[in-house]
Amino acid sequence: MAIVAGIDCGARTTKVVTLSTDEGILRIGPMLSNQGKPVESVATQAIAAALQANGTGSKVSCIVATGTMAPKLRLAHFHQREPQCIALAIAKLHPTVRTVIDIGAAKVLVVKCQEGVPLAVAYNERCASGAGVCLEIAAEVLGVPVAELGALALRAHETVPVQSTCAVFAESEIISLIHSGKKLEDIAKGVAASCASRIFPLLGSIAWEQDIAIVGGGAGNPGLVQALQELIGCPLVVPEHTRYYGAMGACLIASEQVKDG
Amino acid sequence: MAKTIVCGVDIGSRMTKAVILADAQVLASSITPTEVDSVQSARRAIEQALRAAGLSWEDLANIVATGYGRLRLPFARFHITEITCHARGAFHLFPEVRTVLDIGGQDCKAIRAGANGRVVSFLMNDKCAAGTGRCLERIGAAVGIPLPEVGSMSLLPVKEPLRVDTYCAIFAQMDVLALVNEGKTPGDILSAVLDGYTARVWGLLERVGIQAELCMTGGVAKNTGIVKRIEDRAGRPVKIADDPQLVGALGAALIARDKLPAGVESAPTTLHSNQSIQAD
Repeated sequence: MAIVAGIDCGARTTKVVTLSTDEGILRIGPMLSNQGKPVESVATQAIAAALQANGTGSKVSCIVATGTMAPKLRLAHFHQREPQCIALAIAKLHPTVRTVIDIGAAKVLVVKCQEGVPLAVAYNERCASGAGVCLEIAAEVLGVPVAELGALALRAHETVPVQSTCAVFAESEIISLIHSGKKLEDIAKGVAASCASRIFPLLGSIAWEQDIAIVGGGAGNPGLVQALQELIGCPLVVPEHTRYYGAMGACLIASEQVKDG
Repeated sequence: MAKTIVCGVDIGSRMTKAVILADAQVLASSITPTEVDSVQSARRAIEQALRAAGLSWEDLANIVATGYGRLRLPFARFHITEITCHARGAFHLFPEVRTVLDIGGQDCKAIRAGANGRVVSFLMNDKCAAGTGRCLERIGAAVGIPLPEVGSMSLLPVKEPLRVDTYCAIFAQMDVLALVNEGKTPGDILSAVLDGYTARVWGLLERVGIQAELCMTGGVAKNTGIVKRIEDRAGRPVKIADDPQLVGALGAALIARDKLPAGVESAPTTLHSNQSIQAD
């Protein structure tokens, strides 16, 4: 028996998925905040916590890292890019999915894939608009936890447009909208629509195909999911454990490495 | 003959500025935070400056407004773009200036002016926080350094050279947080961030075409770290007013003098090349 791990070091959080090769079950978690600590120590702590939770001993045969901060990690045996990891994970768990939208804190990544292989990839290179940080900033000025922003948007009766492309400028725009007496839920819907309108062109650039899944922290915002569905014109698959797709894919790659010898 | 009193008000995204002129002399000025109601902010800035000058609204022969809220002021007779006002203000202070770099809270403009101080061409970024005062403010917050100290901190001798060349203000902030987490020093981080920031702003200047002399206006001209880096790239000193934040309002006030209502007389505006403006 060997234990392998996939670790996804994002801009904000580090996620771990482990697998014991003889049982073949992906064990999800934990997810730790990167706040205030070097990425290496967060990663070490996350792996240790995963092993302890599983009661599977302390020896990891292979660790594969992915995510923005992965190239800095010394504890990983291999690095793999996020599209490869996400394509593998979605093929294993949702084989009908052909397109994945991954909304991280700073990243918007779209991947067209088939049988675990990315065919086309697009992401936001220069600008954070449409990424999770926009939802965080909006939630903060609207005075709700980011996890509740989506539910707030779903209670809207109309959409208050948020015009600013830049998330930093959207913050001041939202404050003005609140002061001008607009309803919080209508602004929240406007925020979701604005993010969706930034994400949608990326999908066009990879010639998306159905089924489409959404993963990453942004998938936990039902307002964003609804806004995207309206733009795309078809329902989105919202899987369980949306924030662990990168780590799951990395873990699957780690298990292949062990099998290969 | 009584002096003609005029006022220029510049409603910025963060601060509202007012300058009161008696003929070509600055009588008083004010800088006050811009609140949600831009009309109210402008009124407050003008009243502060009037109080400092010992004057009242009735003394003002003309008011010109500029800046973000300029289209909504009921008491201004004219609304002029910030680009025109910054060029006018900079040219008044430094007649040899042909290029103006104005960086405010939410935008960044590179302006090329002719020998008469009129705008020849300009480029601006007002779509994104990259290269604005807001960007510097967020970066400062990420390293725990107040905005007024960001510039001097970035000029400390570098212990370990770092690179932060992300374009977006939010990406830069995240890169900075990661460097803080890795235990890098605020000075080294800010040095790297301001290098990248200056490179972006310089790109805007190059595209508009840099001609000597170069003047910086707006709140970011108070950041010694940015000014030093621009000077290093330009290979010459940058002209900066005593309070660069007031240059737009000064330009608006000068235009208010040029555009006096019919029946109000004034002596011709003279240029004082070494005149500087004082904030109170």
